[in-house]
Amino acid sequence: MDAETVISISFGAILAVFSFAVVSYAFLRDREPLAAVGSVPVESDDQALADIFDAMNTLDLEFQLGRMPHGQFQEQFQAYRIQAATVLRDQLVAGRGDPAWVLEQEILLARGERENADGRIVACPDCSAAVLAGASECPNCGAIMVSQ
Amino acid sequence: MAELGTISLWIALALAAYSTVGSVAGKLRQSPALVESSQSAVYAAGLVLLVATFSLVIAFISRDFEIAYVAAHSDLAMANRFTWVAFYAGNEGSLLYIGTVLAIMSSIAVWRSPEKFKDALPYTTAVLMLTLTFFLAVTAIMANPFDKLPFVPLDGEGINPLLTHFGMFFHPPALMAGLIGITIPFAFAMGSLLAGNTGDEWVDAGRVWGLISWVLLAAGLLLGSWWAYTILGWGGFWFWDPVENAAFMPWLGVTAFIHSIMVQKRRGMFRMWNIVLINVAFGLALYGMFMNRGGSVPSVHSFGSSSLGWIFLTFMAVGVIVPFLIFIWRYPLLKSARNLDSMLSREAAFLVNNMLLLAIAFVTLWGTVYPLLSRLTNDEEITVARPFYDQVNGPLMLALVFLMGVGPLIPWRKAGMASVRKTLLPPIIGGLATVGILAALGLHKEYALIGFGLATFVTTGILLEWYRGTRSRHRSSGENYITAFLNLIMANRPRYGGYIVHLSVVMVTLGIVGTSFFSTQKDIVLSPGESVVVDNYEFVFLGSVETPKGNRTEFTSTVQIFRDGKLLETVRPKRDFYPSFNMAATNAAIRSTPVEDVYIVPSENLPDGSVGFRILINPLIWWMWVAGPVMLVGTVVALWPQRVRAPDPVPSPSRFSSGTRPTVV
Repeated sequence: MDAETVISISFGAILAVFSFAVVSYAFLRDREPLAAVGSVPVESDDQALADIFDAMNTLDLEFQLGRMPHGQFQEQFQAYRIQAATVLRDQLVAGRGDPAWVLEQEILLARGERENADGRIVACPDCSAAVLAGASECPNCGAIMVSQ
Repeated sequence: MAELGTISLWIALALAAYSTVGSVAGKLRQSPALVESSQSAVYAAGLVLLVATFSLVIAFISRDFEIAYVAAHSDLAMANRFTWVAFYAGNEGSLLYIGTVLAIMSSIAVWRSPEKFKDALPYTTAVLMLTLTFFLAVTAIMANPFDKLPFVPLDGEGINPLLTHFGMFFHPPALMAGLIGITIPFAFAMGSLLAGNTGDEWVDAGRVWGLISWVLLAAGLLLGSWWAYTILGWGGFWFWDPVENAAFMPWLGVTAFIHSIMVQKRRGMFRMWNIVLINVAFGLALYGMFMNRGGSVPSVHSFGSSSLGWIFLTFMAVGVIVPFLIFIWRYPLLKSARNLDSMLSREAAFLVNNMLLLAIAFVTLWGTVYPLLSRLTNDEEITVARPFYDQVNGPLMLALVFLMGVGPLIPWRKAGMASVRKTLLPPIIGGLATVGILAALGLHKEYALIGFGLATFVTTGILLEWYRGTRSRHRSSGENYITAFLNLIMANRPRYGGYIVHLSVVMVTLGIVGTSFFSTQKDIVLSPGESVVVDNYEFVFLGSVETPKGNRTEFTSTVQIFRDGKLLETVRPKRDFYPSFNMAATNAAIRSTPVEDVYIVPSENLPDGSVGFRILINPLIWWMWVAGPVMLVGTVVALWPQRVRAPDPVPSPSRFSSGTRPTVV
């Protein structure tokens, strides 16, 4: 058996041992006990939502006081809305939270999206960005806003 | 190196098999350790296969002719840069390549799978590793690239000359990666079904990996066409060869899937349909691999004498039947969240788009298998050539281009006629104006007129969308037009990436229409000093030089191209003869402009010094090759992750209420 063959086989053996170690590690490492479904503290979700709602209120106030342009307001509002919806969805998927309460929050969010000091906000049929009712085009994608 | 390569193959096979069984067992027995161990096996399999790959590469570089595969696909005269091509030139090496790519993609897919999909991930892992187990088992047992010869030859047989073209560095690996990459979205879909998920948790991962395999296949198809155009010497780029079709069909399936999955992501619809689509795409990908491995229909592409055809046919049958059985089993869970509100909606446009794509795939499949069916039923083989595909697929593809222009302009859910009219009117005017102008200039070929009209229609619609969006952002945010345009793209990446890809499809359409309807060809024998006129070009043949090289003889001809008496360029088309392969490879001289290509290729060098030339004038084909990078850019934009800004927690008066606190379950 020549030197190259010996080296090849040795590397192969090392590879086999390495693979075995990788596969075995999961059985050997300390593992935290599985958390029971729904035992994640609700406060963390609740706090996250409260923070998001607070931020939306601040944003709304800033816009009404004329301290930020409309486009920036919409973009930020959309981002907050997506975040809140994500937290709510994660709650439901993880089995935390009451579905009726989640539905109530989604209605409030949707209502908050539509209420505005200048009038109603509607969703752009093309990109779903919030658009002032009566606008001729969407400020996000330029789609023509024609009453459906 | 052979020993290390073989050991690596078997270790990878063991890891893949363990991961397949362990994932399912761990999930069913609620054993997190077994599930985690199985996922670790995926990563380990990828690493081990990389070792096998490097072993083969080193064997090529060191010219280890004791390994049969190295001796069959290289020789002492081969430049090292062709090692990459030689690696997958044969059956064994390409199987190793496919296994390695699948293992690496699976590792990334498992590592980056969304948290919300965690519940179904073990099933997805099992599907991926089952596929990998099959490929590695075939490789290790029946097509081992590390098998040794009983003796060490002094020199190898050399690499196929056709593979030394630049395009061969990318075309086969892109196509193979694209075909096997379809396994990833398929596995996510199957994992979701097996776990009994009723929602859309798999959609994000399905979309991303669908797009990745789509762009790999598209790049592979375009590069293959470019290779055929420049090196095969017949002046065309697509032959409807069975193996070309076998890669084209899964691409059509994945194209339908990546459009349809957006409807599920956006509106929770088409849940059943998307499962069917990804099953069809996966089945077609397996068919493609079957065709390449000694399938029943001969092709210049297939690894001719491979005996693996029946193995792949069996796996294909299993890969088609079992997923559909799983679909039927889980069918009651796949109810869509919403119904179609209106046929005048973007959802309906996507549905019609899917139908057209599948119709083209079916026509192509029929033309591909018809020779086999005729042989089995009538004892005579009837070949299906280009006119069939042109006559049937041509109008379907034009309809698809039309839909590509209409779909993005129609809103979701329901479009009012007034808004549709307002949005579509400018592109329609643009399309009709193009048709009118071309007809007035003397162009009377109907399909060409329709093709050019549709190209203008789609382009006008896209550019108008860009203009409207940019103008709106400019007005609402005060940004300058360039910044507004860039921010518009970054704020809507999937959408605008899709627009860029659609523009590349328009460019491909231009190339196909131009060459299909307006190409001029002349075959002629010229002696030194003689000339010929083709269209408004004059070609003067000055002479040819014969140069012996190590493994071939090069015949380089010198031709001058004139137009209106003015010398445009002197070109040097080549023809190389490889005695060990008893074959010639040509290198066409192409003078390429956005308007037309002037294409000269020598077909034969005669003893008296005269040369047989094929001369082609191919209008607009330049656009087809430029479409490739544009398509790539569009896909990258569409895939780029979209950031969601974090909220700034600042106390404020409360107008929005957080409602009552939830009860803990």
